[in-house]
Amino acid sequence: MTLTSKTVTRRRMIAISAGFAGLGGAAALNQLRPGSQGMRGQIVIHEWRGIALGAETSIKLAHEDRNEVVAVLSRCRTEIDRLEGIFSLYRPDSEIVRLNADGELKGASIDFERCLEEARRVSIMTDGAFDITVAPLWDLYAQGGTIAERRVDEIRSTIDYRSVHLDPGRIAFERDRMAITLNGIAQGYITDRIAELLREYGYSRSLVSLGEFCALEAPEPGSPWKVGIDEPEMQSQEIALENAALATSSAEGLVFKSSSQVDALRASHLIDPRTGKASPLWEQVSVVAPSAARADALSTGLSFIDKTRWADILSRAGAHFALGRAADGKRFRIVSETRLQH
Amino acid sequence: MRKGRIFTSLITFLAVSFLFFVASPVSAKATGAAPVDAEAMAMAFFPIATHIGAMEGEPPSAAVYQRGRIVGYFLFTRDVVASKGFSGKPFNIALGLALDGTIAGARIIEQHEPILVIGVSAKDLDAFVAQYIGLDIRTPVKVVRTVRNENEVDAVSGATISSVVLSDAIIRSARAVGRVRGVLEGAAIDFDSFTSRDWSSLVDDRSIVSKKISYGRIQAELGSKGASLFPVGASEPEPDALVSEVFVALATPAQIGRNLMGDLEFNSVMGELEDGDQIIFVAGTGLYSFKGTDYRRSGFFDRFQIVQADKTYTVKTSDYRRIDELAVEGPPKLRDKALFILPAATGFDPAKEWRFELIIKGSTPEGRIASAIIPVIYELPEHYRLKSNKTEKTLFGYSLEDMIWVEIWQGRMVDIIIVLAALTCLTIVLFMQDKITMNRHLHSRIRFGFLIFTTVWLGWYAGAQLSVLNVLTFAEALRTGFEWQFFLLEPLVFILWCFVGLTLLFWGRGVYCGWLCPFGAMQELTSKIAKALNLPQLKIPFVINERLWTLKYVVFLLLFAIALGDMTLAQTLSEIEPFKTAVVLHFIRDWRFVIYALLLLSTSLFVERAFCRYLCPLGAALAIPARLRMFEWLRRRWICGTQCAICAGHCPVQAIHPDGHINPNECVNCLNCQVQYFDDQVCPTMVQQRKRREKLAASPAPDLSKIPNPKGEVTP
Repeated sequence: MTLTSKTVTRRRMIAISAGFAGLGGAAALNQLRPGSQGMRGQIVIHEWRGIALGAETSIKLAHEDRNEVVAVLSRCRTEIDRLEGIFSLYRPDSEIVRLNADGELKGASIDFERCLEEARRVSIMTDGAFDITVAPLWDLYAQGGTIAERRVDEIRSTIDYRSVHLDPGRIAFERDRMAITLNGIAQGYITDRIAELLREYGYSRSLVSLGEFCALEAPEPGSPWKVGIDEPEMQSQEIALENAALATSSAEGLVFKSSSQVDALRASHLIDPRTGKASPLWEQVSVVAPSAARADALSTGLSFIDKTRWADILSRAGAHFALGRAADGKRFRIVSETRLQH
Repeated sequence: MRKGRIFTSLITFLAVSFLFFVASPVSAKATGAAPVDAEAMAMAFFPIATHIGAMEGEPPSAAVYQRGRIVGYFLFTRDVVASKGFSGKPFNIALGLALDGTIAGARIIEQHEPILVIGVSAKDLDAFVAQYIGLDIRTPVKVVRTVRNENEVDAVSGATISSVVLSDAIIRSARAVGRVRGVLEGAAIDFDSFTSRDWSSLVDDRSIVSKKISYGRIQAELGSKGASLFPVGASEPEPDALVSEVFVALATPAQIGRNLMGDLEFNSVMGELEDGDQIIFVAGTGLYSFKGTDYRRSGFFDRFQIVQADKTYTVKTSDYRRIDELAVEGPPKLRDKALFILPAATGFDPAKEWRFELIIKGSTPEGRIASAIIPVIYELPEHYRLKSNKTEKTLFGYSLEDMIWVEIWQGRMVDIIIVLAALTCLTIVLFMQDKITMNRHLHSRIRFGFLIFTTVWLGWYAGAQLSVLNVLTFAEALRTGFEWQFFLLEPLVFILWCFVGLTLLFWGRGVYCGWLCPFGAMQELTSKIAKALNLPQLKIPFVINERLWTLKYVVFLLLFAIALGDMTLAQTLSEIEPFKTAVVLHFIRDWRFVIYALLLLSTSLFVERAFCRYLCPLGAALAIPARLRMFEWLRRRWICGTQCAICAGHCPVQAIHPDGHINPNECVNCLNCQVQYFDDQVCPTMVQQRKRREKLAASPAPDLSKIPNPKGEVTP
């Protein structure tokens, strides 16, 4: 349970900073007017804030009719609830919990299958630096205490994304004692689904912030949505988003502690599935990609990959660019190769 | 003294005869909680039933089966709504709820309805409840005096509040169970109506929802995942080219399903269904199949899912029904068409919005699958919803369905306006009492007119008679949990009580007793007749009069004390008031009650308002808080009582003490004394003034300044 509360903290940090950085401190208001330039007609930005996925969440919509906005936001909340019922490790009958318990799941929802497919793609692109089967190591670290290398090695043998079989109508683990976590991707997947739902209901100008960001069209042509990346002890970076998603992974976002809280083992929540070490190469990685699920998974995977390889991976993943911050605080920006060509 | 003794024995006789009624076998006892054989009762409600399941769910109900097939639900109202009867104690009705949303059976198991104790028999009550059998619980059911329309039931006469409360319990419990058991939503849709329709008309009114999926839309999403719909090297279509057009519909309503599939096919599919199961029709044009082929091996359809609110349904192969040919006219060229069954157990609600989510799979150059998701949102068009299923209105955030009183108030708007107008008139009369009482004829006309109104309209027509029962129930409610709603059920009684509350502070009990009590008015009119016929009037000596006053307080306190212990008994005993017989039931009742009421009324032929003065527990109940009275409105002179007692003789209720002071606990505010006060032919002071005036008028030089102002002599 330490895990959840810490996760909440990380999400909240990002969400709040996003609000402040992106919207000049006015995020707490229910209705916001877009920036002065280009304002036309009666378009008003509506914001809903609440708790979803154990995190402070916000959805911003540019629309004329407030009542309609309220109705569509309630549908969004229901949708979040539905997806949590599939992905949450803390819902006893969620599909992920059932799969982890039985090693097999038949008749899974399309959402679960798609999310696993997407996870597999990113695993391939990152050569296993992103891997959902890292779950047993998570549990090990979360339990705290002094962890013998040997134990980590033992568990590492169960970690391999290729051992998750995605057959039609059936998902199964190839090995015993395997388990998956979708912490590095479900957040992004849900963000995407909400954005898609909004578009389906005709809200093509929206920004969804559910831990990760997914922006549809800009509220006003030429003035895209702006979101901030949380950078402790530093000014936030502002990123313009339009028809794109942003996800961030931070090494210090979550720290495992021993249950006794005395002999604290400091480690990141980012565990390298290939080495079993909770020591990412970068303090923080943000990725801008067409979908939040992909950005989310990529930002996790890139945390363990040397930046020289980033451009290649980003272009293979169809991502736009990535921002990294090293332990010494130095920041850098890598643009995908395909993006450079355009 | 002899007259007094006769009267005392008359009162005693009345009291004894009253006790006789109470003890008589006519008084139906409240049905006690006898052990109930739920199974036998459920069988009686559903003659085709073979067995009954366990009470389960929240709110609890039991499924009633006919050989494994559910035919309805059985419930007890008490389990569902802790509905409070008139006495504040719950009653219990066994209900059978059929799957079509109608009441299959209703029987009272237990009740403590005071109103039923005497006069209205348990049979009347059963007859009232039986009216609900066959009624549709989704439509608002109105309790009325005379049934004119469908979905109206006759109130038990003289027991309107109880009728409404019973009705509320039946409807609300059945709805609550219907909702959780899925009976309500299912039935709220018009599954049965059928008119022949062609494909395009079904698409036009969104009975069938279509969605065009363009290549551009798919490729944008697949491309971002590095995948493509077509193998690498294949010629790419234009972005606007149609990959597929998908059609989805709820096929369970005959209007949609029968038209699509034709009678034979529709009947055969429907015949397979359990009640509450729903059928979804899906069809697609173009190259892409929503079924795919993998379902045959895996047992699950992996190219679509159905989503409703927070539920995701993956369809099993066993719930798939193929359709070879559509019966409907004018369909497009369809590549795939299928029916999918969503069993009732899944909780799928056809009345609510759902969406069909189609997955379009492409592949990456490495042969990996990637998918785009296309939601098709479906909402059953409004005309498939039964009209009676009105949208829920709310007031201050409360559901109006739960606030039955609102409907009652709306229904009695005219009566409410008349009562408010009458109360306004009465207030004006009271505030202008000097002006009015200075004119003897005006006063007597107003008074006579108002008494007629009170008797005929307020009493016999509207049945708005306050009763000591109200006081007892109010006290009980304060003790066991007060609910405004309960007191709001009778709008006129509620308004009258509000008015009485105010007038108690300003004038005392008199305003109600003297002006607004129908039985009081009836007695006064009876007395007027007696006087017109020159019947001898008994004058009760004040000493006896004063002693007899105490009787009503004893009656009230006894009732109150008994009510604390046994409300039902107290309510039986409160029949000492003849109000129900004489006012609410128009003397149409068991003969013993009629005799009792007529006896009481006939005492008024000789002793005006004898009941009010000596027996009425309501009068006593009002007199006690009336001690808080803040004003003295009735004018007196210093000679009143010391030198003159003319007023006392004119007081219909002998409320004026020999010492001249008016006892506010007895006064009925008829203003007779005030008429005398201003009459220069009656009141000695006024007579004197008149004579002086006449003398002055006769004298040659009248000195106007010396004419005393009558008001100057008023003692407070």
